[in-house]
Amino acid sequence: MSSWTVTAAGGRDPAIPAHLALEAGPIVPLDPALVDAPPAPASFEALTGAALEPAGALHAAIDTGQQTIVESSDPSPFENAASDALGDADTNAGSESGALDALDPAALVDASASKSTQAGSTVGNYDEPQPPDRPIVEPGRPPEGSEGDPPRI
Amino acid sequence: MTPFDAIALAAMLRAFYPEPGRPALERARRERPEYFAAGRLTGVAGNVLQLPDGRVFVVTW
Repeated sequence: MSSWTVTAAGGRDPAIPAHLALEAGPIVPLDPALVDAPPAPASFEALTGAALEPAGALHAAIDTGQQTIVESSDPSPFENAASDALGDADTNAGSESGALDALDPAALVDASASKSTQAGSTVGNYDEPQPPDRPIVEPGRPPEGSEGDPPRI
Repeated sequence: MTPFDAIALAAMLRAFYPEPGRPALERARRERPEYFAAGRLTGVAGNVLQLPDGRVFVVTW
């Protein structure tokens, strides 16, 4: 599509009718001689250099911290310490649990059952003769003159 | 003479001369002089329209 444009080279915009043209306003361009020149723009490096100087020490600390993190991230020391402390605990626990699982309580149950059978065979009614009663001790006649004393058994 | 209308001139050029350029502008000046209001094409690129009343317009593409 063509892009013809016709614009006024100077003066009033021809697209705006004369009776609708804007009037001159109260604002006029400033006299450059009356306006102080703006200050020279400060160098970014000059502004931020002093602020960034303490950061140099921080870089060294950060590097040290990162090195420590990298060295501490290695799990091998912990694994070695754990294996030295626990040894073959896992293997032993597994073998012991396996031995417990291998135990067959059936023999123990059978032995208990046989003992109960033997115990039952000795069970019987009590048929022994009844022992005699304890003799009754006669207190007897108290001696003369001691009627107030309790009887001596 | 028809008063000069920049918008009408631009619309005519877009409608009848789809390929903008100096040759098309000169051909439009010859074929449809009423849109140019007796103006004269000047300038290095031949796209500056100077009207008899002193107004100057620039035709761009």
